[in-house]
Amino acid sequence: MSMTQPEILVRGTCPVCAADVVPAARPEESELLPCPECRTMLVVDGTAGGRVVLSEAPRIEEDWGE
Amino acid sequence: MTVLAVFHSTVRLEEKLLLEAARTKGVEVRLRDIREEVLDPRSFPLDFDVALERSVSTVKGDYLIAFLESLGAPVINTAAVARACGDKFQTSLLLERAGVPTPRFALAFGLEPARAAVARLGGYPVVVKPPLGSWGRLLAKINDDDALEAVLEHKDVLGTPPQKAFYIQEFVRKPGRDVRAFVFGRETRCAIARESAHWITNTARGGSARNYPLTAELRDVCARAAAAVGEGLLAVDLFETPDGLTVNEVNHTMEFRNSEMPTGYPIAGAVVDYALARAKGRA
Ligand SMILES: Nc1ncnc2c1ncn2[C@@H]1O[C@H](COP(=O)(O)OP(=O)(O)OP(=O)(O)O)[C@@H](O)[C@H]1O
Ligand SMILES: [Zn+2]
Repeated sequence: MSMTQPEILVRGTCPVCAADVVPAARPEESELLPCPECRTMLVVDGTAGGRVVLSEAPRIEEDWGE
Repeated sequence: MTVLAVFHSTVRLEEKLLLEAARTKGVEVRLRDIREEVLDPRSFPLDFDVALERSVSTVKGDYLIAFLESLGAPVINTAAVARACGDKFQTSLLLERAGVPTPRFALAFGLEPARAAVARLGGYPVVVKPPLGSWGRLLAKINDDDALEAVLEHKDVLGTPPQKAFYIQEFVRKPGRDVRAFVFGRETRCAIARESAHWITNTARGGSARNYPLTAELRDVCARAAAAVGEGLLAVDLFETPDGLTVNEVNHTMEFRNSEMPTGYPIAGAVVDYALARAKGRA
């Protein structure tokens, strides 16, 4: 669930362009964030070895919304 | 201690705000990704007192709600509310039946009936919407017969089956903005006006939000709209017209990221409180 380790700056790697991505302070699993370099929308899958695991976010589907 | 389960898929800013609010209140939260759940009624762990459905996918959210209700677990919103709000035609029918002011609307399945519908709604312009859509996607303002024919043909050829049900609404000449009210039960807690130079004013589409005063009329219309769809945690969208407020639609998985600031109302915290008040043994 929460991957809070306030002292450690968590980073990840963009799976599309390999850029170094620094999420906001407290990334939640399944949270979205754009890659600062290639602008692909990414999703936080979890953490492994002190790093955030990122993958390409799912595309918006027909039934998405409020 | 009361345990609140938040059933989610993609975590939006709203879900983060809800988590933060719950943690601040010292509430125990179970985050459960519905994409990883097995909805088996014989083995599903009911390790919470109340559930909040926050799926970004309406289809998955609806199944989850129906499932939890069948197990007797309190879930917000209820299946009845989700059914009423998930489909714009359903919502409109309920509002109409309850006598809540709402724009004229009709549903048609082909071009000729759609033409007839436009005539009965008072002529062009009209707005054609996918009955199941959101975020202002695939909305079409149609000004003449040629455009109607083109848009409906595109839907027929390229659309998914739900898009081949043509939900048609009179175009409401609103003053460059519309109103969204956050309604808890039958009570309107806060509201915003969404402004945009474009006729689609959703903040999801770049409209800007400012506080809207809670007038007696707003409270009354929203209370009646909420009652018509079954009461819950609702975002009621309204238009201002010369004849007063009219309800465009009601949303049951409210997005509120742009509304806490202008209204000064802690929506996330109020959502958590509303859920806790409906936890097992308290309702
Ligand atoms: N009949 C109408 N007349 C004038 N403007 C309209 C009409 N219907 C919709 N709009 C405009 O388009 C916007 C989006 O419409 P609507 O809320 O029906 O779609 P939606 O995709 O369900 O959006 P959401 O669920 O995110 O609020 C409205 O906020 C309004 O500004
Ligand atoms: Zn990238």
